Amino acid sequence: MPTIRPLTCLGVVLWLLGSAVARAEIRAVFEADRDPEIHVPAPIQAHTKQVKPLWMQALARPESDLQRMAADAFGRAHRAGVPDLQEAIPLLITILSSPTTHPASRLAAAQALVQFRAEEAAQKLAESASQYGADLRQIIEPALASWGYEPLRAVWQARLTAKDVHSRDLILAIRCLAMIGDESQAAGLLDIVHDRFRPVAVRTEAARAAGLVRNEGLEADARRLTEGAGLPSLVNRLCAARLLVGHSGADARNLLVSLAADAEPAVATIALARLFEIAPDRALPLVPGALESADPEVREQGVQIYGKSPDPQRVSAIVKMLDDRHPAVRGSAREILAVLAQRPELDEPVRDGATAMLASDRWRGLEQAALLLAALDHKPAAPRLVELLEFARPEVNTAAAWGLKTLALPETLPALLDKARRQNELQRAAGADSAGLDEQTAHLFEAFGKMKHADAEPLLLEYVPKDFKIGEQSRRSAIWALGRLHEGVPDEPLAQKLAERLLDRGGSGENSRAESVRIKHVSVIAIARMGAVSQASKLRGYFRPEIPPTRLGMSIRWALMELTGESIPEPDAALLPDAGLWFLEPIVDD
Amino acid sequence: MTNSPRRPSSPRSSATLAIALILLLPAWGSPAEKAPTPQIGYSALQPGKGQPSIYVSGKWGLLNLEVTNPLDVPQQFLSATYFDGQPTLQFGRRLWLPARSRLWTSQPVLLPDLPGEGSDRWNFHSLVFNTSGAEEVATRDVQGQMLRSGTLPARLEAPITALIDGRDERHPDAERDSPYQLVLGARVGLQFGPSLASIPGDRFMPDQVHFSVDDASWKSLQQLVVADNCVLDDPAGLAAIRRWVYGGGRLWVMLDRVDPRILERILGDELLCDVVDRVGLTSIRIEPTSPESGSPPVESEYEQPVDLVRVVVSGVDVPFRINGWPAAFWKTYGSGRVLVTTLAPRGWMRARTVADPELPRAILSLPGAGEARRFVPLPPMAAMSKEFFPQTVAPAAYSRILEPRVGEYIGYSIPPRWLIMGLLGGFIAAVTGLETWLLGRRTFRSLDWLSSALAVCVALALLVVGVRNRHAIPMTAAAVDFVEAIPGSDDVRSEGALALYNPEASPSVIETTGGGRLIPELTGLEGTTKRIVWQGLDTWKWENLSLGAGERRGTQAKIELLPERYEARGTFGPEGVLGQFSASGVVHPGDALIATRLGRIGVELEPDGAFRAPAGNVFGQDQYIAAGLLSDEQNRRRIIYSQVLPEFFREDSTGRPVFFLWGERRSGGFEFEKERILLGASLIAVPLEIDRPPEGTIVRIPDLFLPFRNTRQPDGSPSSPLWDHRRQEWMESTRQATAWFRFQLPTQLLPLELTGARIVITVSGPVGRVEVSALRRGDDKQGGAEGSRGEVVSVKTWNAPVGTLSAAEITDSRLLQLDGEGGLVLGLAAGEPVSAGANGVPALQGSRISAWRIENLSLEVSGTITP
Repeated sequence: MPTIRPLTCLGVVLWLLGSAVARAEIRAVFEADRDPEIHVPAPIQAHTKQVKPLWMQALARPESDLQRMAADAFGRAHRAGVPDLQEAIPLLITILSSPTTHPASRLAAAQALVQFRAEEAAQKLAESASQYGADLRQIIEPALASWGYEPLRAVWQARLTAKDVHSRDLILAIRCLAMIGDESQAAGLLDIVHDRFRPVAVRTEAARAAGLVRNEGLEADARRLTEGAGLPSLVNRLCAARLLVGHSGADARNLLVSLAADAEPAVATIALARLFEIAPDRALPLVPGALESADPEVREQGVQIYGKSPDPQRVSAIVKMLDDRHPAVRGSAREILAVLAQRPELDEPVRDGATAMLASDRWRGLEQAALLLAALDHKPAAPRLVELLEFARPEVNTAAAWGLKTLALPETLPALLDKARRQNELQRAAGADSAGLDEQTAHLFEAFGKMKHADAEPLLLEYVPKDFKIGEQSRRSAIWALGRLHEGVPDEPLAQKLAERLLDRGGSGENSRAESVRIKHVSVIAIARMGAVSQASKLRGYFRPEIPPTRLGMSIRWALMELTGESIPEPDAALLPDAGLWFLEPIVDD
Repeated sequence: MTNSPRRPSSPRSSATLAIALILLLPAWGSPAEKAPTPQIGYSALQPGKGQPSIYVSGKWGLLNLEVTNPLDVPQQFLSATYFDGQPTLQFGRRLWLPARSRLWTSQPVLLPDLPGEGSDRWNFHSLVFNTSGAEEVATRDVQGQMLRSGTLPARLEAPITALIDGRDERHPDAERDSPYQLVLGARVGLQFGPSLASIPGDRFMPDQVHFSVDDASWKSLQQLVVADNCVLDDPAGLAAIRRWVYGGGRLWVMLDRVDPRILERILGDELLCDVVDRVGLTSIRIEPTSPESGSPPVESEYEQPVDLVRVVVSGVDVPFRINGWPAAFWKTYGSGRVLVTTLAPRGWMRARTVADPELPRAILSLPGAGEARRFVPLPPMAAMSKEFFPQTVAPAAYSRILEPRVGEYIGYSIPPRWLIMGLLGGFIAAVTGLETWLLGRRTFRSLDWLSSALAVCVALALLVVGVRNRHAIPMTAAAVDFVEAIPGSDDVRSEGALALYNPEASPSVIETTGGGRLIPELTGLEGTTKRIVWQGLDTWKWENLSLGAGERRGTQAKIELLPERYEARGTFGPEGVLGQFSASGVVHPGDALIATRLGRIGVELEPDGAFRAPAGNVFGQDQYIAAGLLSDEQNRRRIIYSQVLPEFFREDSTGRPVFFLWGERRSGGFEFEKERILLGASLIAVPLEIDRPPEGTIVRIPDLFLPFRNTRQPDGSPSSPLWDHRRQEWMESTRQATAWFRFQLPTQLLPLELTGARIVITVSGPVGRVEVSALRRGDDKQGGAEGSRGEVVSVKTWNAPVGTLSAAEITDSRLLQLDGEGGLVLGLAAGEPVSAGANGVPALQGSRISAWRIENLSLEVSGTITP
């Protein structure tokens, strides 16, 4: 399907942000979803203020279950944005520190204090962590590290060399030292990294920490890990790559180049990512191999590196990746090509490459090329896109329909209408269950609306009556297109039919099911678009006494303002009820 | 669970109500209608706040409560709940509520047997008393009823599986990639019902979990699948999961769905796993790591990538890999097992097709079957499911093992037989003598009253003897418990038997603030109302419990968090094992040993916690205590060792050595009457952590640290099945047999250069000939576990051996080369070739072929730690 998973890769997003022209991701969206933009206030979770005194009382009780639940509730509520709960902190500290506290209550109190970021409790937290067991340390120590709590630094440092330290405590110390950026402990961390008798997870954790605290000088250690007779172990190579994640010197670059060619993708990805940041030119020779890798992460790295230092030849290589097996890789290639096309010297290679891909029969490449060329407003692609309307794979024929809608060339309308009519017959005969049938039809309908193709109106009108057998998206797009066709010119019978869609709340027998809210939404928009003032009262009467802050409510508000010119204040955001959310709640009189 | 305060009462339940009221009300001493009754809201709910409600006969479950205080001042309540047919055993809960508030909480209840065949629920009844004032006042519900009734549904199908899954409907593959679908499909694939307990529930706090820390209430659950991070917000719940797993639960963590910190917090030091990265795969080949993985390789192609979390991990069993990375791994933890899958659910299943066999009708008729039949687990998942959804295995019942011994601590005894016989014999003799005498005097009239007087005298004498005997022993509580340090955590689990002795009947005090259960034997107490009343986490007390005069047995179990972890660390030296243990609070530690599934070695303790276990202290088959002449206490300990250890190693298959020691009875946190004397002993088990000795150290490694299993013969042919590694048993044979064994050295000692080995073999039966061989390897030592290339060299041969054979010594270091993973390979040939008859069939000697068996094979090695 042409809908690409959002945020295919953080790297691509960052890359795009850093590019000269920031642009939105190419997605085969429906106009009915975004035209017009309707702002719906996000609902707000209601929190009655009366819970706080109740929880305070519960926290002060001797019963351990009340203490546990109250501490837990305070922490969660604070995290959920309930204001002014800090009053509980002194009691939470008392529960944390009391030797008679039940372990479960102590854990809950510690967790709540961490969520409050109660730095005034840091000392008590540190004492409790040392007195009351490993479970508590797992909660407390990372928090203290993130707060930069200095007194524990020595404890963490001591653990690196202690003989009988428990592995989990050691890992905790390693992480905390990395969080506080304690460069002085790099040597201790490196000793652990090189100690082949340590558990592998401890070594890799130490390598990660060492790489974070030291940005230089670890090249010799990385080399030591990767040298020796035979192939070094995966753990050694992984540690070496992690040691160098912050390095940028010449020696480090050489090592990273070596690691980037590692047969193990998990190692190569780390090295390629660092090279991409500091010296993409050094990674360039590796890219051909990376693009052939079996691992999608490595291939995507290769695409990004080529995108960072593009030339026509590399553009050609990226174009090939439009047909990659992995949707994230081909999505990255498409987005990068769209940005590269902004450069005058690369515009033609991008278009030529994509056009060549569009001429192929590889469905993945066809889908991406259709999206890309349409996004680039590449009108010569239209004839091929018309051909691709008949392509068997729904991903391709839907992308072609979206592309033709985006290009909006009147000369393609007869072909589009012909296809839409055949799609209509298919939907009527067999329903809209076939993959892509509903979506493709919807894009075609929206193309008619966008280009105001009056010949399509009879077909579009067939989609107004309630019919759950045909695709809902097709109906939405048809109604949206009708609104566009009649923009500013009211068609009263049509407006009447659309108002009926709004008012349809179901009936009896076959008509028992109410009209879809999404159809109601576009019907309201279409009424407003055509300026059918006669229907304003029906719209106004739909929600009484007040328009709710829902999507349909906000659509009606927009429509009424369009139809009457009046200004209707935006309703307050909906309040989500809080009853039943917490273990202890006030009784509210009805 | 439903409340049905207005349902018509059956005659039986009316009778039960009457009994309950009769029994309950005098206990609180005040008429129900004395004060204006507040309209207290009290109802049992399903589900509770983030806690699964699972009810199984004979197990503890949680009764989830919603209690409302409509008054303007805080109130205290006591609820007492009982089940139909068992009105005198009640489960109480003391509650406090602020003014005008509603509280959701829970209390443990022990589910009785179901009322009858075909029954699938229990009727329960609760009385709620307002205890805020000087008097306890029974409350009424809005219908004016004092008794609040409801039903609890029984979980009849086993095993019971719960799934923690925050269903993300926004996820584009929410359905196709659903843990719910996978777990359901895996269950029904094994012909189990399509039922899962979903956590968190939908009704309250939909994104939150609050697990009970009452360990007994977890025992109804067999499997738990974690596929959502909400559990991370409940640290006490994670600790409860750890304890449940250690006690035999099966935990499945879907690492593609959850934060790895969940694993870290549950398993602590026991599982060290580092997430390298996460990759979406469109081509997946799931490869088994060994034939025992139970599935052939499976290849699948996907348009939408399937996530794989790449991890480095050690100390686990990896049954399947993808591109060399673990696709799943197992970790044995105590009696439980943890399955971690790193591949997303979609990679483990496929949509059902018409070619797939339909599910049995019995399953299709159950609710949820429609959903369950949509997906089919792929063979690797089907293979792992067989291990994850096992048939229920009864957990080790240490209390039953210890129960016969606990009474010995009381010292109570019935009057000696000679005394009773003497008194009764004297009585008969006296009556006979009297009769004879009166016969001589012909005055029979006096016989009646004289005989009666004599009988009264004897009865009085017996009474005096009985009373003196009973009062010779003070009020006593004796306990023998088995305490296990839960590895990787600060928790210990204890289970034991208890004997309470009372010279006279009196109200008994049994309470705790530390959780667990102490359940005295209640037989004979059916006529009196007693209740166990909770007040907060792990705080409960028995009320109205009178155990009567004499001895009464019971069981106790609990898991507690120690301020200082029980630990034992050891290493190897020239004499054997030496190390240090820490078990604060254990008084008079002694009679220690280190044991593995292979054997035991006696431990010498020092007052500072240091210990040594010389290789010469290895115990024989029936030896458990390192003393020539055993005291009564030591004999008791020996018997308990002999019964507990097999049970312990039946459950713990990790192969890890365990340090055992005895101490005086630990304070388990259970409180009794102040004047009650506490006696008994505790057997403590602590996993022994092996540390690597410094380079150059000479080490001597006794046989119990060298587990072995069959390996292929040097020519590649399979070994004869002489040794059953899983059952740790030698098999009987009638033929000539050749088997090669791979002995695994402790990995902590590697690299290690062996300098000597000593093999001792014990045989039974006419084995004829025994030969031990070794392998002279070339330079290639990287052969891995199966790398056995080399020349076979005979070490020693015994002809017509009987019993324990003279030791075979190997001092040629070329025969002691270890493989890449620290394995030493030795061969054993035994038996005579059976001569073939004319038709090739073995010729029988007489009517039958005599069988022989290797009874024991012991290997001790010595060597030097190398850099």
